[in-house]
Amino acid sequence: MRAVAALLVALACSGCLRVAWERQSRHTPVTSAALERLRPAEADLAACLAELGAPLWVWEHVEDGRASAVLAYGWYDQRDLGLRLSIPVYRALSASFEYDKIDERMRGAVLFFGPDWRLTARREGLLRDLTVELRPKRPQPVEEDA
Amino acid sequence: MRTGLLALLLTLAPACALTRSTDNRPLARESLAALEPGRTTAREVVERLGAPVEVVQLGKRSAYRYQFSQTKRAVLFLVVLAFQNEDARADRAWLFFDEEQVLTHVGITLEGDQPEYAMPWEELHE
Repeated sequence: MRAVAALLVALACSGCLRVAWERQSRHTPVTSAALERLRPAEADLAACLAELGAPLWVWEHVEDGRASAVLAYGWYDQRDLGLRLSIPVYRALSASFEYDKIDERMRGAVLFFGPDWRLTARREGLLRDLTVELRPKRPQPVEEDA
Repeated sequence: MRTGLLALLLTLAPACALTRSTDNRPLARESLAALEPGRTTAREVVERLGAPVEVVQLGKRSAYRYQFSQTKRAVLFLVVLAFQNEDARADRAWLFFDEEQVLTHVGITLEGDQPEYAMPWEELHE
């Protein structure tokens, strides 16, 4: 009797209570060994692309008054276990991640190049923190005067 | 015993889902291999590969991005237990051009066919 009652309660709660174990993985991580092989002032763009493949993002970067580029590589593999209590409203799973947005959990590496395509610096860590000053700013809406 | 197993399977079946979503078409390896840094122009690239999904201006130079991405999801609901796995991989090519719009560098990653259906406890891409 108790088992049946427990089952009924569980079934009744299934729309709003959920114990979820989720995992999301995106892109293949760049290995530390591969990054270590790319030494600033020695490696150039060709060597970096050959070693790491295509980056996720390329942005303009001005160094010594001359335009060059920053390459950003990113990946993540996240496991979450959680309890959710929610109002049972249908929520469609996103069809694909938004390319332009950097997930706060995404780890990555950023490579800075000089105008001669020589690697000048390399940073690793959480990609959103690394690139906060590098990402192109979106145009802000213009407020009309009242 | 069999009937019980069948009933259990029928109970669980509606709670399973496999979905796949893609963005753009897979990049053609042979088309990318035909690009020659120092010779191929931006116009020829566009003629062969079509319009890029992004163009980045790098001063007087530029870079084009071509991309295909694929995401696979597996979901299993067991009353109040939910197991979800989402795996996304992409084909990407970044093509760099000089001031004369001649190709100088190519960076290619082809892994858009590698996402896997799995449960959260499974290891992927071993």
